[in-house]
Amino acid sequence: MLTAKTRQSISGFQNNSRSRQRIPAKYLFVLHLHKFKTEAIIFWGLCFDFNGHFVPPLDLKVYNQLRRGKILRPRVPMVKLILRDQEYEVRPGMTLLDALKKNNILSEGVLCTRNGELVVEDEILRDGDVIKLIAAISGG
Amino acid sequence: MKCRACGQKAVVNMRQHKLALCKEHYLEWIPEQTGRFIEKYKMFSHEEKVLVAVSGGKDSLSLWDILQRLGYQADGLYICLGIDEGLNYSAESQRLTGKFAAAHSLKLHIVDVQKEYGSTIPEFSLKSHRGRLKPCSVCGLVKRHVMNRVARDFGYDVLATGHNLDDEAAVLFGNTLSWAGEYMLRQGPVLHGNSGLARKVKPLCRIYEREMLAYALLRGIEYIYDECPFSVGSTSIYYKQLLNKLESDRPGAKQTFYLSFLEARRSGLFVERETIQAELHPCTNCGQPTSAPGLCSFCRMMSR
Ligand code: SF4
Ligand SMILES: [Zn+2]
Ligand SMILES: [Zn+2]
Repeated sequence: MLTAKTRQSISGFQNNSRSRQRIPAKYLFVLHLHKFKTEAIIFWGLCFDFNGHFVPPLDLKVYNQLRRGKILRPRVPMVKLILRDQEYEVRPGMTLLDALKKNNILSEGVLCTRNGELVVEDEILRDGDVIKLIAAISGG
Repeated sequence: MKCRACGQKAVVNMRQHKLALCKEHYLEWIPEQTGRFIEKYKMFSHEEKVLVAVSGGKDSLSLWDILQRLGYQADGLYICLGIDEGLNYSAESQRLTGKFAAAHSLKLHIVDVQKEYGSTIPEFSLKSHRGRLKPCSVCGLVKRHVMNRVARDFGYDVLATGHNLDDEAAVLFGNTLSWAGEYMLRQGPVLHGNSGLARKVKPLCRIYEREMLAYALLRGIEYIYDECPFSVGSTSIYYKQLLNKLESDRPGAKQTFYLSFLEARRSGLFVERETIQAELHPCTNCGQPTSAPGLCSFCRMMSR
């Protein structure tokens, strides 16, 4: 745990998202932790999460790089939806239908393809998926 | 989601039918349904000669594909409207239509509006409206005239168009908003021919636009993805979006809207007024029937 004084010395060091943004970018790293990915800060060569808890990174190499001040930014898992010349990004793990709803796309008006194959709306999106949407509505 | 027929991974899910199918079974299902509706609405028989109006779009090419698979005698008619607008729209759709016909060794009639009547559709529109309106009304008039003419000249019994359920529901919705009873009377899967006109049928009128798109994609039909540049922002697209909004909250709403209309009309909700049944006169120039004696609206436009 950090002492109250140390907490204060880092501006906005609190566990809420508004103050997160006020942490100077040079303290902000993205670390590979045990199983999941989270954001943490490096302070005096030690690594803390946003609750002020000390987190030992699993990977010593990663940890050493962080200590030397290198910022690691692992790729954020993402799914891309493409409709005509519009692109939308969503997080993996949700269904295709939810992803469409999230971006206000009516599933009735499009068909979804992945790698040229049609996929139905209950498909769970995986990291790195690129979903091409084909508009079904035509006029005239 | 699994295919209902075989249990494999489904590629299309139709919420209004509570039916999901794999590619193989979907490609069987659509022609089967189309065939069923052709018989149900008594559109045409295997002995009759059918002329399919093909635009190069997904619906009309798929319709042609389906009719040929079902063993009907279906020839195509492509009308080159001369619409370019920097997109090469007409040229590209003609190329794709020609390619489809050649690949399936089907007979295709091509009518080039500019060659036969002297101007392209945008030019006609400019002349008759002085460019104030979209060319769609002129375009519709010319297409109707050419389709009737080719059907008559070559002795086709039936004229088939690729209108799908979304097209029909959108037209019906527009007509309902203004209670255009006369138009509603004439809207339906079959428009019976009279005074030398071929019967007009819409074999896809029960199939959603999205499903026709899925058919075209799964069948590997090369169609023109770009829209006619004049259709951008059209009311029919707007109505289709509204209906899709409804459909997404209540699967099947679109279909019910159209089918209950057909049912209501069949049971006599819209009674034909005598004045509506007004006699048709043959146009003094081209011979196609028209409501007022003298020239038909097409010939009137041409003579201007
Ligand atoms: S959008 Fe209008 S101009 Fe274009 S093909 Fe359709 S009716 Fe003709
Ligand atoms: Zn199957
Ligand atoms: Zn005439």
